[in-house]
Amino acid sequence: MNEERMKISQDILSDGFGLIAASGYINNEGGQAIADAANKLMDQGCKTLLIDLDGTRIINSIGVSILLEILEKLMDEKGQLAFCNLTPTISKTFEIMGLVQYASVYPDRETAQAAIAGDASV
Amino acid sequence: MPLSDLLRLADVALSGHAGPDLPEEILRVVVEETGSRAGVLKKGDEAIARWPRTVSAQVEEATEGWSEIPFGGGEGQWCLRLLHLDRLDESVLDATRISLRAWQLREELKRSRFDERFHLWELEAIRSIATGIGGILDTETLAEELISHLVALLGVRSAHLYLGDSPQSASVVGSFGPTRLEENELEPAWRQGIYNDDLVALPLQTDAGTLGVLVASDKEARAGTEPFAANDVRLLELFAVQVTVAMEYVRLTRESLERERLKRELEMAAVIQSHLHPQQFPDLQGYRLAVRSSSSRQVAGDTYDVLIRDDALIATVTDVSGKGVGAGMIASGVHAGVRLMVTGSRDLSEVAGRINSYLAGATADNRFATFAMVSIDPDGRLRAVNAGHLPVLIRRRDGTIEEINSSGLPLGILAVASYSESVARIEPGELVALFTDGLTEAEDSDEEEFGVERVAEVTAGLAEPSAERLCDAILEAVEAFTDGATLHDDATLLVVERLANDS
Repeated sequence: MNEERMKISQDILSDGFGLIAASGYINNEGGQAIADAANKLMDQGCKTLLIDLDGTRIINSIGVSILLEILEKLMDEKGQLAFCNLTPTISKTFEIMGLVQYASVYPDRETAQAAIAGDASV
Repeated sequence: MPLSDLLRLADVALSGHAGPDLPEEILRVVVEETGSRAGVLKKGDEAIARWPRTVSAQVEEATEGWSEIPFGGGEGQWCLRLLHLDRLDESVLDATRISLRAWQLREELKRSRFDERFHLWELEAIRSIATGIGGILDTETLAEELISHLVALLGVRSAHLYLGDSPQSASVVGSFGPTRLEENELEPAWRQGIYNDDLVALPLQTDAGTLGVLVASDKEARAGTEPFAANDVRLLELFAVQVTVAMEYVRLTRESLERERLKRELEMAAVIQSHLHPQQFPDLQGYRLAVRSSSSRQVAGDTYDVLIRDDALIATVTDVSGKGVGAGMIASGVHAGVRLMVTGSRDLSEVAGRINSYLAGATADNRFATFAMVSIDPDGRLRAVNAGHLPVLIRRRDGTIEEINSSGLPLGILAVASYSESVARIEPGELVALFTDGLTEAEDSDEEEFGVERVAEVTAGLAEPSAERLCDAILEAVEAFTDGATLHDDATLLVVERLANDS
């Protein structure tokens, strides 16, 4: 198992809809990198964020707390947060830690984009 | 309307939607309402918020004109520091206190809920590991699974699992992050563990000794790292127990599978060996045979064979030193050698010599086989060769016993050995008995051996002699002698009977 340093990219997929692709260990550094990307997208007007965790296998409690802060911030802005490509272990962790109570989880990026686009059109 | 602004912020705090920036927002309103130039909100010695954000600790230190206003909050009291304060309304302080208290309660509630969920996460991880133990038999896969749970739950930057028979032979079977345990630290970790602020290494201990070391290092804090706390060590100890159980399970399951595989192979070898023995004796007019053979293990070191070559009946008995599969393989080799070589030669001493040469080159130094072979023509002419084996007994019609003794070393001891052929005649009603030392070395309760003499006595004293009756009589005598105790060695008894003319 390697150190799994966080690799991150961000993109605006459509008006108000931002994507963050993050792979690696979500610890304090990895989590902060995701938070920085989320803040940047929010500053650019994104109120809906999809975080694609393809390639992420491990998240620790600090990483979870940072994702919870991103969720709170988005909820303050009446936005929404979604995740996709979660491993079964991370999915279970999100469920236990209450993240999926307010954030959506999708199996893959295509399904997430289609669902979020569908929500937006309603 | 600053008061209403502050109360709105209190409402936000209580609603649960307030983030970590709320104290800064409250401070901003207070600074504006009191006509101050800047403000710092402190709880105890810690600055919770600064407004404007450019007011760093250094700026605060270097500037004069600060008013310090404590406003309650119990232990770790809240304090407002306002620069060039213009006016202060008591109601603003009250509203500030209410807002901050609401925010603080909300934060404590969130933290408490987070901790509660984190404990559930711990339980789930332990459950997941316990469940996974039953399904993963590959040590490295299991180690990676355990390490990833450990890294996640403990919030460390690196973790390693060492397994081995000793610190010197131990190797890393699961890892995350850079190795932090120095080579010379493995031995103390193995013996009593290492408990440092930035590294904890725990030995994995079983009743049979230490089987490895679990190492975790660099416990993360929100910013950077922090020393391991007692709770972290407790959690790591719990993991160490889980890892120990998991690895022991893998080892025991593998051993069990290996035992099962060996058992099946032994069963197969026993079946193969049993098929080497004649399934039914060849028919030679005027002769009848009987055999009894038992092995102390699944695969026997004894073997026997009966075949017809050039109208002669050939009977052999072989006893390989030692027991089990190794002995069985050599016995099978002798069996095959006899079958092949008696086809090309009628000279039994030559056959024995060639099998001896083959065995001497093909077996380990300490392995050998005793071997007896008789060839009986239809007219009763008997030729025999005995290579280090017990005597072959001939029972005459009048009950007297003749012995054909060994004429050379057991097979396989020396590369070149010579054997001489013995010659005799078997008349109708007479018996030839070949047997192995499993019978003669059977012991009674005083550890006295049954011996060749008793075999000869039973043979001599047999009423109405026949091959079957002699087999039964010898085995009954051995059983009576040992009081029914199990034989400790392979035992074989092969009897050739020349039928009496009136049979």
